[in-house]
Amino acid sequence: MRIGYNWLREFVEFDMTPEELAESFTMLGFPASCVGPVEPEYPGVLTGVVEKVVKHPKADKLVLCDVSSAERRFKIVCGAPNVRDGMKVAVATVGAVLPGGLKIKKTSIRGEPSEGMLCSGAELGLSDDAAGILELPERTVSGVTLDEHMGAAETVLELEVSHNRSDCLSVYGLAREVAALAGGTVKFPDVPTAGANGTAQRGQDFEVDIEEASDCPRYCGQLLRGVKVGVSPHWLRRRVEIFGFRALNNVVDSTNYCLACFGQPIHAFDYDRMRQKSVLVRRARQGESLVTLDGTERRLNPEVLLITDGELPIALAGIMGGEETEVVESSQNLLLESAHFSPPVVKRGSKVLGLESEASLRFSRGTDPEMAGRCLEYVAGLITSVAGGNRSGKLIDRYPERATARKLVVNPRRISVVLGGAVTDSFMQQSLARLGFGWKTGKKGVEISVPSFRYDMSEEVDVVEEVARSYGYDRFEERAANLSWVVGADEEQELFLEECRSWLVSLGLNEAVTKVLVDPGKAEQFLEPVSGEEPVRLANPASLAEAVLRPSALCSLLEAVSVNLRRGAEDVRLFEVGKVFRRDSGAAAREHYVVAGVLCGRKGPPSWRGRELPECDVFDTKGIVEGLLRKLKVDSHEVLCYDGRVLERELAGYICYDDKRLGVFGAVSRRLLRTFEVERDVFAFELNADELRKASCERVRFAEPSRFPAAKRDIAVVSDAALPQSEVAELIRGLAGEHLQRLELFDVYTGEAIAEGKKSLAYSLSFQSTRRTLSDTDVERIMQRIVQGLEARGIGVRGSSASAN
Amino acid sequence: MRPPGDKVDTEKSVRELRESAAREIESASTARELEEARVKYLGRKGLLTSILRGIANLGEAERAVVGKAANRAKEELTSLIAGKRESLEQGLRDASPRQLDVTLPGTGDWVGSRHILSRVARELREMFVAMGFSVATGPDVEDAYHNFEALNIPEGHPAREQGDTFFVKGGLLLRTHTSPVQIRVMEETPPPIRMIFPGRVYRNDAPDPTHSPEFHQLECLYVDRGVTFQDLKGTLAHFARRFFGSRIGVRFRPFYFPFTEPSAEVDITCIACSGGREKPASGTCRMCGGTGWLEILGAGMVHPAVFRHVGYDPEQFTGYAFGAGIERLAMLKYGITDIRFFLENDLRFLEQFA
Repeated sequence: MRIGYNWLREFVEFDMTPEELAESFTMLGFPASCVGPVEPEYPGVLTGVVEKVVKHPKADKLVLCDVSSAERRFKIVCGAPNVRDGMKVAVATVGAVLPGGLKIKKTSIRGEPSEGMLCSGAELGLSDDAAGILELPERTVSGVTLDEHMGAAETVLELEVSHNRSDCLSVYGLAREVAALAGGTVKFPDVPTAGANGTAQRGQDFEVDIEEASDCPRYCGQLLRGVKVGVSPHWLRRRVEIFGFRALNNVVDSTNYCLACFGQPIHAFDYDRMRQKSVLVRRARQGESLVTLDGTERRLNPEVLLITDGELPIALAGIMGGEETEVVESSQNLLLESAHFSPPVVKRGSKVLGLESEASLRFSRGTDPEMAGRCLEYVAGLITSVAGGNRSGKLIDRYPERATARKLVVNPRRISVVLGGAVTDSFMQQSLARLGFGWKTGKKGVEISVPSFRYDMSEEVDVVEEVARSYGYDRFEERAANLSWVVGADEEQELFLEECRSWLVSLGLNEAVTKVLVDPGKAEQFLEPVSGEEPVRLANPASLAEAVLRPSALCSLLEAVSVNLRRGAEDVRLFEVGKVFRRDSGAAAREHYVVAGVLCGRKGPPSWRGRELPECDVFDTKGIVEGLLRKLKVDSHEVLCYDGRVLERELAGYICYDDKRLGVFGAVSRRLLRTFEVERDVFAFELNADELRKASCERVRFAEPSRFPAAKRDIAVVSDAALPQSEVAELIRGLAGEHLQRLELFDVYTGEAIAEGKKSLAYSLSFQSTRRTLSDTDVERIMQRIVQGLEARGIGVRGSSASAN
Repeated sequence: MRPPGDKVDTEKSVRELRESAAREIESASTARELEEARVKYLGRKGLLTSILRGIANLGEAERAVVGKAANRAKEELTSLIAGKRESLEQGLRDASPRQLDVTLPGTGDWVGSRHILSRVARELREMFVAMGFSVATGPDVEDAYHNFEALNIPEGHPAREQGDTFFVKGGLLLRTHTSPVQIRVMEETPPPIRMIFPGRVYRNDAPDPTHSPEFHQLECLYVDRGVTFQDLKGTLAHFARRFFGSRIGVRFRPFYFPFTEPSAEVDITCIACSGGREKPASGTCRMCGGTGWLEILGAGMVHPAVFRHVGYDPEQFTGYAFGAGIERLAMLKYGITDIRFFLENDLRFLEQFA
């Protein structure tokens, strides 16, 4: 909202610069900034005094004037007949530009220099008088700009008003806040009167009826006759424009000005175009309609409150007028309306019609019923002073039940406690009084009466805030919260996820944080048809590409891979710890955390040492998963064959723990890569972090390292090529017994010297006892057992030896 | 027994020996010559070594004198040799071309990085945990009761009608703030509560440099007997100074939120123009628009209506709450110019904060 600094000064006295005023508003809860001065209407034109007039030596009709404007002196040649000593004038100095576009230059007229011009009313666009120069009133201060003299100089402030403070959506409302701050009082301006215009006493010209008083607690009407619609005076146009309205004509500008000044919307009907000369406020009937000012036909229903002429609708109460009774250039007689409508009714009506206006904004948040009458007096006076005409008949005021001040019972001690004991009872009382609240000490506490314009006050804490605002937020001291024991909730989960992140960083991945809202077409591809799961859909997505919650983090990670490759990245290694969302058909949405990653590009960073830079493969992604599991102490996991469709079946596996699937790893399927427009191989993994946390060993138990030497042996076995290596390793582990400390696969070989359909696996074993040194014989006995055991299972042993390591 | 005159001779020969050895050491021009000189005098069969070995056979008086001289000579020569070796090696290094180009890049494996959002979230979490707060998280898919009603935002409230809520088919919605987690915690746990609530939130805003439909918040709640507005100020001022630096200015100004009363917005002095003290060349600071202040978060004392919804007695307990956008904090602290960078995951963005 925009207001003017001088405008505000008409309502309240204060001693602040525009910048200081903006700062004060900000600290009162209305973030404000000083926009700056409005563009001057008369740049370079000053007020001045004619000090001396002498005849021009070479021209009869011209005079030479000495003109002063504060400290400055000008010599000006003038031809006006009315110029005389001591006259207060408007001086256009060199460089000034007059409304007609005339630019003032230094010149000489018949040999006499002239440093400016004394302006006529016509030259300034203020009157039609072009013959003589404009005489300013005797009390005019010399040396100020003409703008300032005419009250046109103005500095604009822009401020935000939160929607609970509808009482501050006007200059007057803000003036109340300033008055409370500065300790002054706010002044309701005098009603403008235009010379001879009195009230023509005639009979009642119209009737006002209200069907339901709760819909419209107050309705004031006033008839004006003989109004001449035309252009508004300059000051009025300027003010309504500062507030953000477009200047239209003297009637509309006046009603808008009243709204800007007092927050009271005023509606003007063209009285002559009203078919019936009466007003009935009632709800719309089903099937009724009205063409509003904006030319739109509105279909109405009983939720909408109407102003009717007794039969047909002429306006949507508090929202917008009808086109039929709109004030137009030819209008002469006007019916002015200033009312108070029930906020929820206007709000509801505005919502069902999908129609908002400056008026509905204020009525639906709450206007001050007490202001309606005064504002009508004011606007009637304003219109007659700027557009002529007379008030016809008395102001009609239907206000059956005068609003009584709401009462709140508060406990000052409790208020003081919340504010840390910083404020006293007397401070509270004083500051509330300045804001217009009443204070009455009673048995149960203090009874606070709330001013009629404060719709935001409903209980004690609201009073707390008023007191805190008055005290000044910056004056409260800073204290350290006193410690007390509190229970924890999800720190363990947070720490676990944090640990996952750290390990994945140490495994050489870059953390990503990606979008949860994804494309439904892409999301579908991450759900296995057999699972019966569905993505979680938004009912009101912002765009089709962000319409479902991702069922897999890989969905958005692949998007990130795609984006980075397109931007020229060669190696993309990302991981994310975040949530995924699914729902079983018809059931509620489920969400859980996952740890997911994607790899694309070279195995290792480019180096000057090796020319060959092999690309990542399935085992790199599996290596990362295993690294993570090892770090998280997920001891015994299994890997099963993959049968889904997100990854390539032949190049992927499930990671299982305790018969539960923790997640997957492998090559992303060709189909998905096409979907994401990725032309390179991408390897991925995704683990359910909630399950992972359950599997992760909570606390490691320390095992004392053996003090006895370790014995190392290698063994090479030949098995069926189809036999998973993990089974061979398990077998060896079982046969080796308790002394086996480490089993490492160091070679897999097929080809020469190995029969068709077979493969050779070479392991290195390390034996160690915690109790004694193992003798060669001990180790040989174990190796013997392993060899026999393997052979019994049809796995040949190519050889075994003491390890070279 | 040797004649007594030998004492003088032995002493003299030690001196001569030392001098000639010193000369040879000094004149050695290679490591090899130096080693030859060392062996000649100090080797197992070296000249000085023999004298030292012979000391045992001398008379008592002589033994003391010769022993002292010979030992001192040995020390001197050892030190001379070490010094000479050092300077020969240095000369060698200076003279010979380098074998290894140490400017070649080092080698190693991939090095990962943390996302700036999770770094900032971690920093904030650690800061508040150190102040005695614990952490709670909750569902992203929420119901209207926890996201709105329980927070004193009934149906029809303007804050609810801004049209920025995403609804999920089936009647739920995506939380627009992490405040519903506060409600869930209070429903489950009696006071005192001192917790932070990090997490992702969703608002149907058109993306632009400062708006993203998905972003992250950190909210905070402290409920106990006698929690005051001063406690709120103290905690927030401490947080702001620790996060942005101890020289930052902090101010509180009144604001409106449905779930707190009194409510405040917290500003810090502008990071770009030091709160207006350093005028930028362009005249008006682009970061703060010339006001000197940057808004960082909203805060206030928990509204009694919220307490009533979760069954806390507002007569007994008071509390404060605040909420900040993690992206916004990170943008201010690190000078990130567009919020959309965060979820885009361009490696050139990610790796800057590694």
